[in-house]
Amino acid sequence: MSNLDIGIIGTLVALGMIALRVPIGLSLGLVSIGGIAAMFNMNVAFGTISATPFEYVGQWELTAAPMFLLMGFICSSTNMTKGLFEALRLYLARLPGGLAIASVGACAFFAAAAGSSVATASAMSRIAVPEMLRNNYDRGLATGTIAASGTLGSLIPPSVLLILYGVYAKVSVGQLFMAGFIPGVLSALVYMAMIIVRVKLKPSLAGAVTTLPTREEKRAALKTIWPLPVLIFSVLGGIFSGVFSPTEAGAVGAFVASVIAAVRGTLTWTAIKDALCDTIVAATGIFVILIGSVFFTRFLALSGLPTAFSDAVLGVSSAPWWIFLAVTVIYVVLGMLIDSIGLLLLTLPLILPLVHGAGLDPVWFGIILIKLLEIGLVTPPVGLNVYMIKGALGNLVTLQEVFRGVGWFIVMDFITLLILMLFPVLSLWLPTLAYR
Amino acid sequence: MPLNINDDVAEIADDDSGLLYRCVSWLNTVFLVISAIFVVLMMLHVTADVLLRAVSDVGITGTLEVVSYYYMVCAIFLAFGYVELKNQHIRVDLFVQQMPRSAQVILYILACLAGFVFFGLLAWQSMIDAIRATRSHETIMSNFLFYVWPSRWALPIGFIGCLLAILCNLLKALTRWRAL
Repeated sequence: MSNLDIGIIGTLVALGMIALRVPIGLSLGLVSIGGIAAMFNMNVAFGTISATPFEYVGQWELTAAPMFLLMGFICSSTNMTKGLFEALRLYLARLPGGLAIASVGACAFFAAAAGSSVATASAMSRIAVPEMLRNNYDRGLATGTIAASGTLGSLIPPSVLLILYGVYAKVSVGQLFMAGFIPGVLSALVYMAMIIVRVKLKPSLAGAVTTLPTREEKRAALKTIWPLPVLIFSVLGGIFSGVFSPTEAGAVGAFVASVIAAVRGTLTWTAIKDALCDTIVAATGIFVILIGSVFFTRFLALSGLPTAFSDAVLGVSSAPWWIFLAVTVIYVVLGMLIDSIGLLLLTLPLILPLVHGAGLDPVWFGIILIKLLEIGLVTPPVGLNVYMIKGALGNLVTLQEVFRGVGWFIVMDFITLLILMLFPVLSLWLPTLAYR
Repeated sequence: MPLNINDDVAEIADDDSGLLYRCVSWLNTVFLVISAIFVVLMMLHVTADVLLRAVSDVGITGTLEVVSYYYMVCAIFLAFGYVELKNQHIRVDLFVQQMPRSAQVILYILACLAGFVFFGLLAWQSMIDAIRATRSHETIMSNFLFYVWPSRWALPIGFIGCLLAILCNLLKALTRWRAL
C-alpha cells in the first residue's frame, strides 16, 4: 500500500468516525497517529506527539483566541448589548421591519465585540427575539434574523475563526481582521435591505403597527447606549492605530469589558464565573480539535494527499471561478453536517495547497472561506446557530420555523458571497491601506 | 449535535453520587479553577504590558514567553478533563441520533475506548517529555533565560484528568445503558 493510499483511507476513516459521533479532535488525532505509524513506525508517531501539542498551543498568536472569547462572554454575561439594542429599536421604529433591522444592527455591533458567531447569536437571541415576538413579528423572521445575523460574529473582527485561519495559513491576523470588516458590514446591509423589501411586500411579517416612540424616550435611550461602542472603539481603535497588536487586543478588550461592566454595576460574581467557565470550555473544545488537526496535517503531508488533491483539482482548471466553485460545493455540503471550527481545521490541510497552487490571495480567500463556513452555521440539518436559538427559546418556536425563517437570509448570503468573489477589492482594500 | 451544548450539564452533574465520580469531578473542578486563574492572569498581564508600553515605552520583560508558555499552555491543557466530564467535546450527533439506543451506547463506548488510546498515548509521551525537560532544566531561546520545563507538566496532568473523566463517563454509560 502506498503512502497516498494510506492518506486516502485515513481521511475516509476519520470522516467515518466523525459521522459516528466520535469527537472531531479525537477522530483526527487517532487516525493520524495510526496512519503515521502505518507509513513509518511507532517511533515516528511518538515523535509527532512529542513535537506537536506543546509547541502548537504555546504560540503567542493563539493566545488571542481565549481572550477574544472571554471578551465576548463578559459582554453577554453582563448584558452589555441591551442598551444599544433599545436605542436602535427606537430610532429605527419608522422603517418597515424596524425591530428586525435593529436586531441585525445590534448583532453587527456585538460581533465587533465578540469573536464567535454562536456567542453573538446566543447573546442576541435572549434580548431581541422575545421583543420581536411581543410585537407580533412572524416567528420565522424573528428567529431567522438572529440566527443569520449571529454569523456576522466571525466576519466582523475580532474573530476566532480568522485567528485560527491566520495562524494555520501563516497570514497576518491583523490583515485578516481588517479584511473582514467591509464584508461583514456588507452582509449586514444586505440582510437589512432584504428585510425592508420583504416587509414592504408583506407587512404582516412585522406584526401590527406599533406606536412610534416619543422624542423623550429616544433621548433617554441614548444614555444607555455607550458600553458596547466604547468597548469596540477601544479595541478596534487600538489595533488600527497600532497601540497594541491584534493578539494583545483580546486581553485589553476583556479587561475594558470588565471595567465597563464594573462601572455599570453588572460585574457580579455569577457573571464572572459564567464568563470564565464558558471561555475555558469553548477554548479547550477548540484546542482539542486544533491539536487533532495539527496531527492530521502532518499525517496528510507525509502521505502526499494534499498535493495529489490540489493537482487533481487544478488539473481541471486553475481559473479562480473553478477553485471557488469547487470550494463552495465542498463547504456547503460539509457545512450542513459539521460545525464551522471543526470544518475549518479539518479541511485546511487539503485546501491550503490548492489556494497556493492557484495563486489566490490568502487574505481574500480567508474571507471567502469564513463566509462559506458561516453559511454552514445556518443550513439544515446541522445549523449550530439555529439549534442555539431553539435552545435559548425552548418551546416558543419549532426548529422548522427557524430553518424556514433563515432561508431568505441564506439566499442573501450567497449573493454577498458572489459579490465578495467578484470584487476582491472589498476584502483587500482596508488591509492594503494599513499594511502598505 | 449542538443541542448538548449547555442544556443537560446540570442534570448529568446532579444525580451522581459514586465515589469515583465525585473524586474525578472534584479533581477536574480544581483544574478548572486553576485554568480560570491563568485566563485571568493572561488578561491582566497582557493589559499591564500594553499600558506600561504606552506610558513608558518599556513593557514587562518576558510577557510573550510567560503568557504563551505558562498561562496559555496551563489554561488549555488543565481543562481537558472538565470538558470531557461535562461532555462538551465537539461532535456530530446527526447520524447517530437516528439509530436505536443500544447502537448509540455501543458507539459511545467505542468512542470512549478510542479516547483512552489517544489520550493515553498523549499522556505517556508528554510525561516522558516532561521528565526529560525537568531533568535538563529546559529553556527556550530568548533574550533572557526562560525556563519552560514547568509548564511541560500541564500536558500529562491534563491528559490524565481527561483519562479519568473518560473512565467516569464510560462507567456511567455502561451502568445506565445510555450514550452521554
